[in-house]
Amino acid sequence: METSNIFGTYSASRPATIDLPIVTLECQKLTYIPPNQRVLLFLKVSGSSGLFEGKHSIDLIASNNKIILSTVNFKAEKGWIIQTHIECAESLNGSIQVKIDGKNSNVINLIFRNSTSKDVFYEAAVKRLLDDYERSVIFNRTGAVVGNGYCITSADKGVGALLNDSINFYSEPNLKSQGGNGIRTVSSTQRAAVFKSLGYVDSEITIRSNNYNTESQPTRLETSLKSAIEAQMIDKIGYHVYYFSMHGEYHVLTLLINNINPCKVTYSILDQGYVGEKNLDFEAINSKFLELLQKFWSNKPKHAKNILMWKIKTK
Amino acid sequence: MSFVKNSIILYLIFFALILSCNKVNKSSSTKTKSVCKNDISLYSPIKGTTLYKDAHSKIYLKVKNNILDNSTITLSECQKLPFGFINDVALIDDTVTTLEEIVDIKSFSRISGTNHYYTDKNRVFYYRTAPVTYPNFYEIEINKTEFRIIDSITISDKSKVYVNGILKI
Repeated sequence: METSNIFGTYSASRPATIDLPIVTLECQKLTYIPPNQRVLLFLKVSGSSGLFEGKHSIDLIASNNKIILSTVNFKAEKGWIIQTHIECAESLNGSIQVKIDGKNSNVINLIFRNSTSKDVFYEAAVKRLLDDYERSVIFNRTGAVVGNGYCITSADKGVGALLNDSINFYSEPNLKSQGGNGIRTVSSTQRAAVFKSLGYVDSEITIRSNNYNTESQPTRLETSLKSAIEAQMIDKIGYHVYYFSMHGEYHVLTLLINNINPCKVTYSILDQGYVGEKNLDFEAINSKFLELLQKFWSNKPKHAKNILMWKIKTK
Repeated sequence: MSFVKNSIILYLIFFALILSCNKVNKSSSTKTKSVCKNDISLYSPIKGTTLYKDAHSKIYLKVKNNILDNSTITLSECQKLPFGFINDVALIDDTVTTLEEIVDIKSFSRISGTNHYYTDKNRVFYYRTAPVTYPNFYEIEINKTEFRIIDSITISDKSKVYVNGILKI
């Protein structure tokens, strides 16, 4: 298909020169990546899709053989988001050389290190917490513990598993005569005071629902739980754990927040099998907690009024 | 003669195989059977309808399975059973022990006119359903000989008042 004017004759074709795109981290908050964590990396191909440009061949080349990428070759257009898992076996400053259509494009610099904050946890500790709760759920279904009573001990030993401390947290068997540590768990506030005295509490959050001074059903949280937690996670990439109680300490649970990707935060609510919400979008955490308050309010209207949280840290 | 002898040997082997197969099936079915620890058939009453004992002579307080009050939860077959059995008890000094270690069976009873207060010749106890606590059966610090029943949830002595098993300061 040709066209002509007074200057000459033209035909449609791919442009002779194309500005090569660059590839950057989509999440600007990902200022570092914890080592030994498999992290899903979202990478943005710059520009926008051109009519004639088509797909580019993109190669990612890690600067160090300790840095493992699950996918290194892509066919993608400008403006696309590409994904690869990345994992590095140790702390180091590394990079990814980006090649577009066989030519060097840009370099993505990456820092692999752990957070220096003691209230940030990683996979090995989180696995201990999750495994312990899994055992609690199974045990609770045997009817060995009356009613809802197993929540406070599940949370206690779960946090103990997270912290690798079997001395100061409820153990199973618990009785000293059976080899346990004989710990009594009177209430969540009493236990939190003990955790604090042991150096295991970083900070506290109290959230009231809007029925705090009435007997009405809660319709909103008086202050944002999401904002309170976010303020405690700034530049702390990893997992965050809160020991918490709801409904005037009627139920004791553990909140696990996955902040490995600060642009895609998720959370799980752990208990002995009654709530058990896993990997939910952190953006909607306020509505989930309001839903729990309302659910409980139908049974215990006088108590579904507050959430008490203690952020767990290592010593 | 030899044929008869061989037949007997073969028969014996066949019989032994059947026996061993039966044994395997029996043990594997025992392993897979789940036992509800709150199944009342595992216990026998030793004190009216309150204290029970198991096959190992451990003593339990039989209580209503209050989880049934909450209908929003998906319950296991065990959790649907109407009772629970409590063996652990906390003493005033926060020691956790078992009922057989400290309870005087003969004098043990629920305090008449109260919901969850119990007594024996040495102590006063409370069984707390909520807020959650462990052990949920525990000794309270009240004068054993002087306490008064205020109402079903409240008892007091000269210096202390307990409401729903919680000390009011």
